[in-house]
Amino acid sequence: MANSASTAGSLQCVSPLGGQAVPGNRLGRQHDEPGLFVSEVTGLCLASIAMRTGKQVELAAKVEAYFGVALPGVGKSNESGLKRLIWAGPGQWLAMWPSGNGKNSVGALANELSGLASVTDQSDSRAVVDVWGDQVRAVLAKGIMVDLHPRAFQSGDTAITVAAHIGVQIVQLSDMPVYRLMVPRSYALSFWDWLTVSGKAAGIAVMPSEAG
Amino acid sequence: MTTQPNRLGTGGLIDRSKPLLFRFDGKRYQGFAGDTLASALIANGVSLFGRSFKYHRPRGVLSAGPEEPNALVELRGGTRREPNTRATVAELYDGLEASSQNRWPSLRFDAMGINQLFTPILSAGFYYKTFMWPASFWERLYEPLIRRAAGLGRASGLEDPDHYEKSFAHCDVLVIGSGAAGLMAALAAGRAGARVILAEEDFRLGGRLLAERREIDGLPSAEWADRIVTELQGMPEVRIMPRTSVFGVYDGGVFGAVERVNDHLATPAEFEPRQRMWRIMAKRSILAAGSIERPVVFGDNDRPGVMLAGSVRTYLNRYGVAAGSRAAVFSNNDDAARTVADLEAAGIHVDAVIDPRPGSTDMMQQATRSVGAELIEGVVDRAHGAHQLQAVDVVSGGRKKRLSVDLLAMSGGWSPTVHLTSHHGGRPKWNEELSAFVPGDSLPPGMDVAGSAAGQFSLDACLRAGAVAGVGAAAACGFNGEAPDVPKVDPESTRVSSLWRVRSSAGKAFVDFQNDVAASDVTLAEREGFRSVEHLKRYTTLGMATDQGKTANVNGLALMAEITGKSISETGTTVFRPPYTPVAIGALAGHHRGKDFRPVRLPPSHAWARKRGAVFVEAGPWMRAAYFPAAGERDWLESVTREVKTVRSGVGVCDVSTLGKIDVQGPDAGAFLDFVYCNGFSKLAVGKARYGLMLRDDGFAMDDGTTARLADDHYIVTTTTANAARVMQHMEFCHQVLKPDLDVQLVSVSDQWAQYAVAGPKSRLVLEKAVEPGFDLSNEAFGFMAAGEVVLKGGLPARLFRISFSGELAYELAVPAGVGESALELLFEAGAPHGIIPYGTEALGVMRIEKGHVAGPEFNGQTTAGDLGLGKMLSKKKEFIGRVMAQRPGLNEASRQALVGLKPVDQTQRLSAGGHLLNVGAEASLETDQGYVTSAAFSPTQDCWIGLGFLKNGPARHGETVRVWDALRGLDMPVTVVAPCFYDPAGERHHG
Repeated sequence: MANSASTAGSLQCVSPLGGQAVPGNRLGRQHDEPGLFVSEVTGLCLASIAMRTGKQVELAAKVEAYFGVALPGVGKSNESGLKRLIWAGPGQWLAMWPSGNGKNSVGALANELSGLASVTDQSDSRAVVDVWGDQVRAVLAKGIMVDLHPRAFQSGDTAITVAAHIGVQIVQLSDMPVYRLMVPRSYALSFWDWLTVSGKAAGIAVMPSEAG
Repeated sequence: MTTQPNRLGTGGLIDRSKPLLFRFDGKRYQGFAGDTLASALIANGVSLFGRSFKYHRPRGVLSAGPEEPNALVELRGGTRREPNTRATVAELYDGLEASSQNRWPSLRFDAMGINQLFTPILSAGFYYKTFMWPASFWERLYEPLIRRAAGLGRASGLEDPDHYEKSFAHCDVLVIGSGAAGLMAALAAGRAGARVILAEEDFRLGGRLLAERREIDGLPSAEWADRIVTELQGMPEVRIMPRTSVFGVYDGGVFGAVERVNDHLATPAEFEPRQRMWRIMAKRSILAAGSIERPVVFGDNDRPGVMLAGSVRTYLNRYGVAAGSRAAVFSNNDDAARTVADLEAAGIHVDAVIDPRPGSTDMMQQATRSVGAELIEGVVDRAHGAHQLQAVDVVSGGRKKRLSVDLLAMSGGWSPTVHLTSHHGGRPKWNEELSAFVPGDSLPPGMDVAGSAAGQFSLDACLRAGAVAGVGAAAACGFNGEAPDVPKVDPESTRVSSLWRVRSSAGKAFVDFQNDVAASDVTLAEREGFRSVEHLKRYTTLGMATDQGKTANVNGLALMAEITGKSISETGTTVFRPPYTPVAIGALAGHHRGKDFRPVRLPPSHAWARKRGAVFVEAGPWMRAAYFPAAGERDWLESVTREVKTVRSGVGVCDVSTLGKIDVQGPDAGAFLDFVYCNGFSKLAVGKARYGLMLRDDGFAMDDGTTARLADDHYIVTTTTANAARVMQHMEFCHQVLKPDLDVQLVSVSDQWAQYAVAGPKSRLVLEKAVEPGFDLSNEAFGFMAAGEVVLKGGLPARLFRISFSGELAYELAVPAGVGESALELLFEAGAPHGIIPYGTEALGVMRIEKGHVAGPEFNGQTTAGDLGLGKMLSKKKEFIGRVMAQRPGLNEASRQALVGLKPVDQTQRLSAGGHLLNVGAEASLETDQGYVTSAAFSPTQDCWIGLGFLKNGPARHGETVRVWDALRGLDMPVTVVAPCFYDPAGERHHG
């Protein structure tokens, strides 16, 4: 299954890492408990929300009413249940929620926010990967220059950065920590190459896709 | 295999229960865990390590650390061979193989040693003076000759089988060096709660504490170091990084470091990198890098067996190795008194202590007396022996005396390791009392220097300075702690007075051992006018070898000061740049080598195209299908010609997802596009697309593409593949800086949509079958330049644009990328009855050249809208970027080179892009240049090669014959100038 919430009828979705991130696979060091767990997240609706001029207050109210999640400030994300709003630049956010039954509900959001924000469907534009495990920070440090130490980066924090010359947005989902990485779809395989090479010494377990 | 004749019976920080076998120049030896290659070879009685760079003089080991200029070896073999490895820092491992360098045929007998006979002519500037002419001799004779004679180690020339990686690290306090000062600093900062990184280039922490017989708080110094390390290891926010050299200080508190993760093993463990390049971001740093001992410049001071006094102690105390059996000590400072005592304690007889200082000092006298050696007030002026020191000549009170010794421990004083302090341009300053350069006043931001790196040479001063620096650095990061108690140590003297060279010396007195620069070369440089330290360095190559003059620089400039009669502070010093020690290029590349050199972008059809046997081409970061060979086709031209013919007569599909796609929304979207494009968009009807041309601020053409209006406040812009990121950046700039008042939002959707060109007279038939019934695609309902939503069979909403790059009836179909492959299959299913084929970028290019459409080669940054034949697009009714500058007279002259079509007069000839255009009969020169060919292709419809190019006053010259002159390919052919559109100039077909 893909991120694409626009799945319909006979057309089959291919996820950005389809065929690569095969659940159950072990990569690199095999003997011990894997130091890195990786899961491609599919079945998500993603939408860019870009605020229209002067609509901050109305947009914030409308978004909170619609999602039950407040618009996050700079470098932050907010979540409720499986819905998440992520800061994505000045006046811009990325919203994500499970598509449920393969239905794309970005259009509904666009209608809801009509006149307050420009909404753009991004459900197919990114590979979304969750990573966790004992070695997760050491592995990510091989490409991501952002300080992920708990004193510097906590649950809910997000950063737009690069890894291996590929643009990546990172969000910390939980204290565990679990990190969510989002990269442009066309770069997904190069990103996967970097991530798996970097994690081989730790040992990687590819986990089943988790919706949301 | 030999035993270890020079290994002491006891002592040292080696593990005698873990013998390691290794080979040097094919011979088998045994050492112990904890040895370096140098200590293990000395233990085995090996004194000869290599031959010098220029004169091929026999060389041994000078030092016991990273400053080593002589003992360079080739480590490992085969694909893993590493040249110029310092034996003094190469950690011994079982099975290590090394060989000496720069000798032929063997180390003991070296044919090039004959160079020594020519030393009078191989002096400074020799190459500049000798190999001057003729110029052609350089490449064929001189350079190969010099390289063969002078080369140090050899690279393997094979692909490195190991992998390297990079990593980032962050901390509050970075402590560089783990000697007394570094350990105290890390302890103080760590106890305060700061995040600390302690980086140590050695494989064992402790610095000089491992090399001295000192007591700290009643413990041997190495044991005290271990105790501190154990405490640091228990602190969760302290990261200890052994085998890690911090080699550079960069902007914003960023430090470069290389970790030799697996250099101490024959081959790295599976999945492990050999080395790791670190970029460490630190709020504060403490440089506790210690100091480097200086040699004394006297005759034949490079003989194997002449060693730095502190290094002699390192071999004795840390490695349990005696570097000789009868020793003399030659020193201008009190520190070497320890060497006297340590040699005696190890059972090595010290014959004499030579001290140039009048009356010497109490400490030296005491040390000498206690071992029963003779204290000579004088100098050593020459060493004797070829492969091994046999004697030294001592001059005292005008009398010369020869001492039979096989080890001379020398010390000219210690130079603080200030290298990292000058990476931001800071100049070290001279301290006369210490006879040393100490860190200057301008340090890299956030850096503090502690211990002997700051000229605080006594152990007590190091411990104190480290504690103070550690507490201070932590406090600056918001962690207040108390300074740890400074442990008790014995008092000591670090008195020194300068002695730079022994003037009476005969023989070569080396300043820079690695680059074979002698005192006489410094004299010569002065005589020939190269007196500034920068000139001295470059003329003599002093300090320019792989060791960067760590033991040589201060002696060299002190000599220059002496010769010119200036003080050392007046003479000044050269400064240091990264890296502090050599860094393997593999570590700098990390993951990015081979196919991972840079990331690759794949369009949605990639897997499908691979299955169809496409041949791919790199287009910027993209991998695109260039063409799809069919069975029996012999070459690309045959395949491309078939693809073009099929599209022109039937139907074909090409993935154009690589085009940049930008969603432009908001009430002012139309006004914004009017501003960034030279033609208008605000009046474009919803459901229509339009070709747009964008100019740069300077009036030249920047990019083009089609833009469709999906709603009143919603446009979708496409850019060329090559300029996608640049156009997005440009539009963001225009919005944020130039037009912040416009209510418009820009979002890249390049990765969201798969987009396919469906082209050819049968394209409508295919699409009618692929979309749900009820969508009227007839010319009347969905004519040329229409844009709208459709629903594909199966219920998928998609976008359809009636645009044509090929010149045929054509559409572009856009679907979400996830279903891109599936939608492609749907198109092929629908098109099967019509003989649908996939086509690649080659056919795409052929068809656009046939149509005279400009593309990347024509948007070369030097062409205006007028040059491109698009001058009429410049709106006269509105303001837009580039409007004013495009009116400059020079950009509007009739004589400008403008777009034309080109056709060989002899239609069997092949045209290629890049050739210049000349008038027939004109000489090929810059003055007569008429233009150039930008694009060329074999045109199946014209049945000959055709091209596009820019020709002076081109549009007025259709029908004329000019020459294509291409010196690169050796082409010179007449071509006819024609209109740029070769195919269907009336444009009837795409309206079809």
